[in-house]
Amino acid sequence: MNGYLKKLLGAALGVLAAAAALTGCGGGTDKGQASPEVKQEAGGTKEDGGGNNPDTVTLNILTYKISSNVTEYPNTHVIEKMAEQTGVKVNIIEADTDKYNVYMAGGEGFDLILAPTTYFDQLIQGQVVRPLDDMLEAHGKDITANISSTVAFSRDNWSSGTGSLYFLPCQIGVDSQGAVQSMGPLTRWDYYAEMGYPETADLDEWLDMLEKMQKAHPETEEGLPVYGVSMFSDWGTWCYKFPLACYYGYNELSGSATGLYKPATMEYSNLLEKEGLFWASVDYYFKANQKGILDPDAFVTNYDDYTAKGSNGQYLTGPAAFAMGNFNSNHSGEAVGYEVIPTSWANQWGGTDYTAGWIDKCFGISSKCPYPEKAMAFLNYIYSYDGCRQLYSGVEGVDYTLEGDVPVLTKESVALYLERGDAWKESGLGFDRNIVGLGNYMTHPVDGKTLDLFVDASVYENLLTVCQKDFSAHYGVKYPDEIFRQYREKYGVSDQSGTDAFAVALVPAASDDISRIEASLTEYALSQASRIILASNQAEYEQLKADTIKEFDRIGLQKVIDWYDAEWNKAKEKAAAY
Amino acid sequence: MIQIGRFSFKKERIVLTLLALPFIVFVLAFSYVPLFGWILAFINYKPGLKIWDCDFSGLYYFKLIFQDWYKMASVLKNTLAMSFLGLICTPLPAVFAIFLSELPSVRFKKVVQTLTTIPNFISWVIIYALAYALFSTEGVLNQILLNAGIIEKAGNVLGNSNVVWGFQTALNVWKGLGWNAIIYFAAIAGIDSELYDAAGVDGAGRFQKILHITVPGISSTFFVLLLLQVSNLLALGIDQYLAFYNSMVADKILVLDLYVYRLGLITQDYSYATAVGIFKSLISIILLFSVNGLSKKLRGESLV
Repeated sequence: MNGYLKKLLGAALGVLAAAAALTGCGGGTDKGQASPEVKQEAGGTKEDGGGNNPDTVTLNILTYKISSNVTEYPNTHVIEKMAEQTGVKVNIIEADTDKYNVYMAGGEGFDLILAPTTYFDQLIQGQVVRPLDDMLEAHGKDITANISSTVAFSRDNWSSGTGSLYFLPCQIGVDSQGAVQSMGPLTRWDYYAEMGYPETADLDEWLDMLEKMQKAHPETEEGLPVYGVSMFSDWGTWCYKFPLACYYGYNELSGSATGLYKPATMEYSNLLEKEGLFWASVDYYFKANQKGILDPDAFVTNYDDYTAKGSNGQYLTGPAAFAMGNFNSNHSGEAVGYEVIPTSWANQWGGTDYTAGWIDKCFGISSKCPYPEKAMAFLNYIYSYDGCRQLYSGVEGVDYTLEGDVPVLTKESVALYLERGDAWKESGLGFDRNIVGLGNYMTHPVDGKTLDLFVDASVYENLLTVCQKDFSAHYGVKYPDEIFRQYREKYGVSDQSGTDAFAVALVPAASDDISRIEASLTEYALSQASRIILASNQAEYEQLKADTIKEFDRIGLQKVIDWYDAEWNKAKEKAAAY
Repeated sequence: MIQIGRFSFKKERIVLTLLALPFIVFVLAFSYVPLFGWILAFINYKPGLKIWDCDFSGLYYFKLIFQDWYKMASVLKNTLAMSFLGLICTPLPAVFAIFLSELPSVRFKKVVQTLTTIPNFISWVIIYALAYALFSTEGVLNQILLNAGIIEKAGNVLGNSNVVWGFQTALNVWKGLGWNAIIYFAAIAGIDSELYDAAGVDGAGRFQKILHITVPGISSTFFVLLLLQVSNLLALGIDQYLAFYNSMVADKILVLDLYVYRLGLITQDYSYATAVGIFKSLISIILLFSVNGLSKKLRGESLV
C-alpha cells in the first residue's frame, strides 16, 4: 500500500469513527450490572415517592404488540397502592416489531421485557436478560409457591440449555369466557330476535340467515349500506384464521405463521393444507360473495375502517365482539347489539389451559436494569394472589369490601364496569392482563373467589347489559354463557379446554428456512385469496383453488408441514413429563 | 495564511471548509456510517445477539436472491413498470411551470402554485384515507356516478389490480406536480428577459417564445433531473405502496423498497433484506453511471 493510500484510508477511518461517535454507535457496557451513568439510560428512575413508599422506582417494561391501559392512565389509585406495597411503578413501552427489535439490539432502555418464546435464545445468548435464580429465594417467595411447575418448565425449556430461570409467562391459569361469549357466530341480536331466533344447522344455513337479514335491513337508520360479511386486510392472515378457527375448533400455534392445532384432539394442522382452515375461510367468503352479502370493500378495508363500520352497525356478523367497535356500548340501554349465538355446529372459544401462561408474553429482567431486586419484587407481586386480586379487582375497602371472609364488589365498581369507557379505564380497575402473572379466573386460596371479582359467577347477573339480559331471558338462563355450556353437553361441540399447554409451549421457533417459506406461502395465499373469493362461479373458483394449491406445493408447503409435524409430535411426547 | 507545522492554509479556505464541515459530517453520519449495516447481509443476524456472535453466512443471502428469482422478477417488473410510467410523466412539472408562467395574473398564479404544492406535504396515509373516501365502493365518486346514472354498479379502483400501476402513477403526479415544478419556476425566472424582448421584436409569438427560449432555457435542468430519476429507477420508496397495499393488488404493487421493508420488518429476515437492499444499490449505481456516460456522449454534459 503506498503512502498516499495509507493516509487516505487513515483519514477516512478517522472521519468514520468520529461520525460513528456522533451518531451514538459507541455502545455501552456489554454485560453485567450497569455503571451509574448507564443506570439512567436503562430507565429505572427514582420517584419522589409512590404512595407512602419513599423508595419507589419506575421500571420500564418493553412490550410487544400490546396496547395497554396502564400507558393511558399510569397513576390510578390501584397503581399507587401497588407502588406503596412494592416500591415499584411501571412505565409500559409499547413496541411494534420494528421498535421492539431496535430495543433488543441495543439491549438498553428497558428494565423488564415481555418476550415471545421465539426470542428467548437470542435474548439469553446475547445477555440481554439476566438469570433470576439468585433473587428467587430472597424476593420471589410467591413465585416459588404459586407457579412452581411453570418455573421448573421454564428452567428446563426456556433457558437456552443453561438450566437457569430467565422467563416467566403472564396469565398463568385456565381461561374461560366468563358471563358472555365474545367469539363465535356473532350477529345483531335485535335482528335475530326479529327473525324469530332461527336455528341454523351449519355454516351454509348461517349464511342463508345473514342473507335474509341483509334483505330485511339493507341500510342502517342513517342510510348507510349494511353487509352480511366483511373482513379487514391489514392484519395479514388473521381474517382467514380466527373468525372460523373457533367454529372448526382450531387454535393458533404461537410464533408460527401457518401453524394451528386442534385442542380437542391435540393434532397439528397447517392453515394452508388442502383441507385446512384457510380453504374453509375462503369458501365461506366466496359463498358470502355469491349471495351478494360480502362487503365489496372487504379487501381494501383496514381494521380501523372495519371497527368504524361496525360501530355504525353496517355489518351483520364479525369475528368477535371487540371488532365491532362501539356499537354495543352505544346501545347499552336497549336490547340492541352484537351477541354470539349458541349453535349446534360451531365449536366455542375459551377454556384454554394456560398452565404455561401466555407464551407470547413472558417476563424477563434486563441485564442492565439498575434495580434488579425491585424488578423481582414487582414480578413476585404480579404472581401473588393478593397482588393479582388487587390489580384485577381494585383496592380492598375502596373497590370491594369483605363481608365476613368473602370479597364483594361495591355498587360503584359494578356501575363503572357496566359503564365501561373512559370512567372504567380511569378507575384503575381491570388492570392490563398482559402485565398480570396469574390468570383472572384463578381462584384465591383464602376465599375461593376468582382473582378478578368481575368474572366471578356470583356477580354475572349484576354485570349484564340490557341486550345480554334479553338474550338470557330468551334462552331461560341466568347469564349467556350458561346456554353455551348446555350446548356443549347437548350437541357435543367443544371449547378450547383440551389444550395441552406445555405441548404447545414446547414447539420450537421455526428455522430461518422454514420461516422464509411460511412467509412466501402466506404472502401468496393473501394475494390469491381475494381472486378466489371474488370468482364469478364455482368452476372458476375450483380452477383458481387448484392453481393456488399447485403453487403452494411449489413454494414448499409440504416441507413446512413435515417440519412442524415432527416438532409437534416431539413436543407432545416431552410435555407428558409435566 | 495560517501555519500549522509544515502546512500552510489560506484563511478563507479554512472558513469555507468549516462551513462545509457540518454537511460533510451529516452525509458521513447518515449516508456512509449506515453502510456498516451491510455486514448483516453476510451473517445470520438476530437482534439481541452481538454481531460477532452471529453465524457467518458468506454469500448465502445473495444466492438466495437468485433462488427466489420467481418472486424477485415479479417485484422488479412492478418497480420498473411504475418507474417508467413515472419517467414518461417527468415533463409534466416542466410543462405545468411553463404554462403557469405564461399567465398574466400574478395572484392567480400564486394561488394555483400554492394549491398544487400543498399535496406534497400530505402524508401517504392521509392520502390513502382521502382515496378511500373518494374511490371505495361507498366513496363519493361512486355515489355521484351512481346517482347520475353513469354507472350501474360501484367500482373500486383501490382493489383493481389492472389499473394499479396507472393509478399509483397518477397519484404520484398529483402529489408531486406543484412541488417538482418549483425548480422549473426558478429556472424560468433565471432566463434573461431581454431574450423574450428581442424575440418579440423579431415577431415571435407566445408559443414560439416558449419553444425557442423557455424550453432550451430549462432543458439542462430537465435533463439533470431526468438523469437523477433514471438512477433512482429501483428506488420508488415505501410509504405510498405500503399505504395502498392490499391483497387484491398485492402482486402488482409490491415494489422493491416495499419488498425489502416487508422482508426486514414484517418477516424479520434482516440478513436477506439487507442483501436485497445491497443488490438494489448496486443496480442503481450501475444505472447512474450508465446514464451519466450516455448523457456525456450524446449531450456533452454529465452529472459526475
